Amino acid sequence: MARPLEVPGSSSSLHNPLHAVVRWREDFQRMMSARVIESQLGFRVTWYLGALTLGCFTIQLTTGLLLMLYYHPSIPQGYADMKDLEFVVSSGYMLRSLHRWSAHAMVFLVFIHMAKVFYRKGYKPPRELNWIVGVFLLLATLLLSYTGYLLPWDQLSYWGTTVGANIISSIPIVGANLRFYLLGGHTVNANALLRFYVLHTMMFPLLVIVLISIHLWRLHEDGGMYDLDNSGNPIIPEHSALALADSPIKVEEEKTLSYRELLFREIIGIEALAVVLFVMGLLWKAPLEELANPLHTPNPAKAPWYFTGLQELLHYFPPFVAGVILPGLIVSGLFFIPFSPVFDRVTTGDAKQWFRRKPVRMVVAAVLIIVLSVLLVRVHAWDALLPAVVVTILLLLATESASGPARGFRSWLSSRPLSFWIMTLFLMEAVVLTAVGTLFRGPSWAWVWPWRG
Amino acid sequence: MGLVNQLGRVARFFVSTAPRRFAAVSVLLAIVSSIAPTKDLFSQWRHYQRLYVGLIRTRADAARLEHRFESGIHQIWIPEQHVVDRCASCHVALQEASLSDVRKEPFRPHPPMPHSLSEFGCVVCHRGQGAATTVQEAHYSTKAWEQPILPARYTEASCGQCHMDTQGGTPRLNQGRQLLARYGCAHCHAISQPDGTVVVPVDEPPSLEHVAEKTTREWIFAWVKNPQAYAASATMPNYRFSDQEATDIASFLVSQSTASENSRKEVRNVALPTGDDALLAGKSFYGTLFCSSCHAIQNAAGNLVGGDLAPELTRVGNKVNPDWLRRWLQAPQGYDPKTRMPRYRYDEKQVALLSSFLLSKKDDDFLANVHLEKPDAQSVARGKKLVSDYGCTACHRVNGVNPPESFAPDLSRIGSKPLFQVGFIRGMPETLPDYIAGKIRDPRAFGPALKMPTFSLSDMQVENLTTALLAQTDRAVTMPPELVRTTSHAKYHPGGDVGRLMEDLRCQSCHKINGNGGDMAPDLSFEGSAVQRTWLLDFMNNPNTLRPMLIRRMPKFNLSDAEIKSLADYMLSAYQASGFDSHALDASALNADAAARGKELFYTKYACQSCHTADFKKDKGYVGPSLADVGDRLTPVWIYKWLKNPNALTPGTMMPNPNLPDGEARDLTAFLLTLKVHPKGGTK
Repeated sequence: MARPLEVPGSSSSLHNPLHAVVRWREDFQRMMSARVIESQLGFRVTWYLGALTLGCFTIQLTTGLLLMLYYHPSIPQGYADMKDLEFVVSSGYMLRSLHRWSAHAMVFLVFIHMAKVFYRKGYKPPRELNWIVGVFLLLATLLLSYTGYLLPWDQLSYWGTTVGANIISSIPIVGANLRFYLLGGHTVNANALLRFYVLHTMMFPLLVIVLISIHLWRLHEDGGMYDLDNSGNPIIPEHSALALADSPIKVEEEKTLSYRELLFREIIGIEALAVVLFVMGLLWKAPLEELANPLHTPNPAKAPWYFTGLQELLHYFPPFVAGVILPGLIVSGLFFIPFSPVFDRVTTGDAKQWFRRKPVRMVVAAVLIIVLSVLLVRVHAWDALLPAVVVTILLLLATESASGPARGFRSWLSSRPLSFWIMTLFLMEAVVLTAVGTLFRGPSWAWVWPWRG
Repeated sequence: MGLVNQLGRVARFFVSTAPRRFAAVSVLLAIVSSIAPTKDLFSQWRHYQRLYVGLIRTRADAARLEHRFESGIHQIWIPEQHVVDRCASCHVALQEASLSDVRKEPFRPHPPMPHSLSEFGCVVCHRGQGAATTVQEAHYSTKAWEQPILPARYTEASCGQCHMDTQGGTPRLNQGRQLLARYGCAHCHAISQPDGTVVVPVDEPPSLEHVAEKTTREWIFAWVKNPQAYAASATMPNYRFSDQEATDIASFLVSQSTASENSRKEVRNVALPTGDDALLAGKSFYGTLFCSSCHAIQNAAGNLVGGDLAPELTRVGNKVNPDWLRRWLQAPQGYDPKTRMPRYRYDEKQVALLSSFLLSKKDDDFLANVHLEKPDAQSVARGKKLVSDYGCTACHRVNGVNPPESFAPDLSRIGSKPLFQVGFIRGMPETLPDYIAGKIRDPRAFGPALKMPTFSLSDMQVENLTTALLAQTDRAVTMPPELVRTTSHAKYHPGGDVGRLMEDLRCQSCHKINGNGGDMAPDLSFEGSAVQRTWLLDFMNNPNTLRPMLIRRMPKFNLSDAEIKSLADYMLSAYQASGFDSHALDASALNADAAARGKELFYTKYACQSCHTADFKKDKGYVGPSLADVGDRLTPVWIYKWLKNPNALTPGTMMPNPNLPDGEARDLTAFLLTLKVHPKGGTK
């Protein structure tokens, strides 16, 4: 990008359509960070997770708009429209399936994207604001998916939504009101359908579009892709995109134009994702059960899969703990960690200093094990505690390496900061609880093997 | 190995550079995204429409059929009834009458029916998923649709959703509905219908308030154990009581019994005729009284002979106390004020003769092995609990036990019962008709603790009952009211002195009057317009059957002349139809010439003698009533109007409408009026 940019709005460029094209190209270049470190372009580095999520969202917008041509948010017409899509509309089932699988893929990819960015310490200044935007995007994605879940108005969607709404009502004091405002009533009914429709097709998509724009803009502003130094911390580029327009940039040799190289690669990735989603749509139709029947609660009534982890927690703990304290801790942790350097400064090695004496270590370990065992025996929440036990063992392993020079895995472990341990615990909890809630729970929330279902 | 290498080389070629990767993925995307629209071209309904086109090309009227055929999804949409039926997308020939010889589905035309397809669509009658365009989804129960196609043998249930009245084309539904009322289902189950009426049981379970007068503890025990062992035609179901339970119930029923009004009447000992001759005399008396119009007795061949309106009498000698029987025959209402049995005017000798015949109807083995312990208080208390628990008082009146309220599930919408509410037996087909039929056939199979007893029904009866119950759907309830064909449930009872007399004779046990009453005998609502006074007097004095084909006949009540006269006068004045006065027909037209022309019409043009008998010596017709005395019996106006349109006077009559011109109707009337047994017009 050696050529100086045209000054937007200058009279010489206004009347020449070619100039407009050039300007458009340059605007586009600004959307992504102008230059990126070439070594960071490979799939192995970022897995293109951000781009793939954006791809999912694009597919959602496209299929969603097409679905809106057929859908009426009323009862029972909404359900009848599903039948029309399945039986009469050409490739209607594919529209539904794409929309459904792409929604699942988006939730999944957003999670992975977050974890990836976190472990790469992408939340470090100057990207902390973008991290916050990302957390909002995660929440917005969940809400978008949850509100869309109701629209087919079949048994699956009705009861999934009902379970989700009941989780909301477990928030003390405001929960019942929140649920009432969300549903427009005390039960999931025609008002709820209309509200969810408006939220799903208007409010949340607009919100997500705005957030994605900010997200991409900040990505650009904050210097785009970044490399890691030897200790695994990001190297902050000295330039920013704002500086780009004003002054010549100090371009490092290995940096390359992002819109040619990166965009091209990411488009390939998005296309590959679309291929996968199409194949999924051909193999598995989006599920549709019977018309919603408020009098017939299926057993088990499950929330959408991304909430079954919460549902699993609610099975063990009182609603206040499982529905408020734990999710609240998670979300506030996601918000809080970037602004508290202590989480990154304190490493396992420091902990070693605190527990220098072996008896202290043993006591701490014993107390931890006893507390966890008591919880396990009293609450039987073994799947919720399993990740905690694993993390504890890893921690002990890291701190046990006091004698002699640490090597390999132990050494790596002992250099992990506190934030690593928190995130790892959260992710393991999320994976284990979601997997158990989705796959291993049958009637009355009893344990079943998925292949016996 | 070579192939794998080749493929590896091709793959490597496509992933080696970014533009190649882009090209490869783009082509792949283009391919996978075009599969779904392509699959649409090979959908099931397109396949069947292609087959159909092949089929009609072989037909003689191929050009016409092809012209009428339009490819594409065919849909019947009736928003008011939530009908979106796409069945015709595969069943393309539903309206092609010329394909009536085609047996291959889905190309059979619909058989003739009273509604057009566009009126109600398909699933209103056949169920299934009308919106679906695949066989699996449309016909069967799937994750997205619970109600499969209704098996053809239950299709009449769908007529019953709207039609509450009896239809000619729905024999199974009609019988099912009769069974619902006759087997007393509605004693325990509430069954309300879309027109707002409820199913009323027509059986008459006897009052048990005075049962000890009538029968013994032993008989009650045997009856309760297995009613059909006593009388094969008994409608009382089998509760599968244990010996102990049956003993307890018998003990309680006897202990609660009080004295009836009849018990205060003295039974004078009239010497009963004895010997074989006497038995024969009793039998013939039973015959001449036409008891068998209502009661049946098993003959030597094991067949039931007689009506089913009243209890079977095959083993009545095992059951009844002789004194009770005589008092009963004298005055049934003195024992049970609500009985349907008329009070006949028998003298003591007749009663003695009849009761000696009835008491001879017994099976000596029936109670031979029943020996019951003396009843104690515990047994009585247990019996009372059983009577209360099993809801006996839903049907029978029993002292000290009130009728249960909402004892059994409401069946008003059983035909739409969601399957998730149904507890199927392991291994049975999980459909609603199978559930209902199974439940009727053997209720206790669905759980030993269930109280519903086992009814003695044939497979056909079970299917017909199922049909009637399947008609009780949600759809019927939500149907626009103007589509529901109601049936009237009048509560007419005649008043005044004659009304009391008619109640005493229980006329409405057999005759319907102004919409209320039985359907065994002719409707009397317009009898006053139809018959001549002299004939009516004569008939009530000595009823004889008008229809040679029928075994049943009006019994002889031994009425006094004064009773007959007041009955006849009441009927002739009260039971008049409008527009039947003498002005309706020009009497001068009914002359001898007209009668001659009428005779010609009767025997040649309309061949009435194939069903009716005008002349006992010549005619053989026995389907319709005999007309040999019709000139004495019916009024000219009635005959004329009947000939013009029989169905208007008796809906559902077997008599076809001959569509007579006025002149011919008058001539036939003139001829029929000449048919008299007493040429001078009655002697009484």
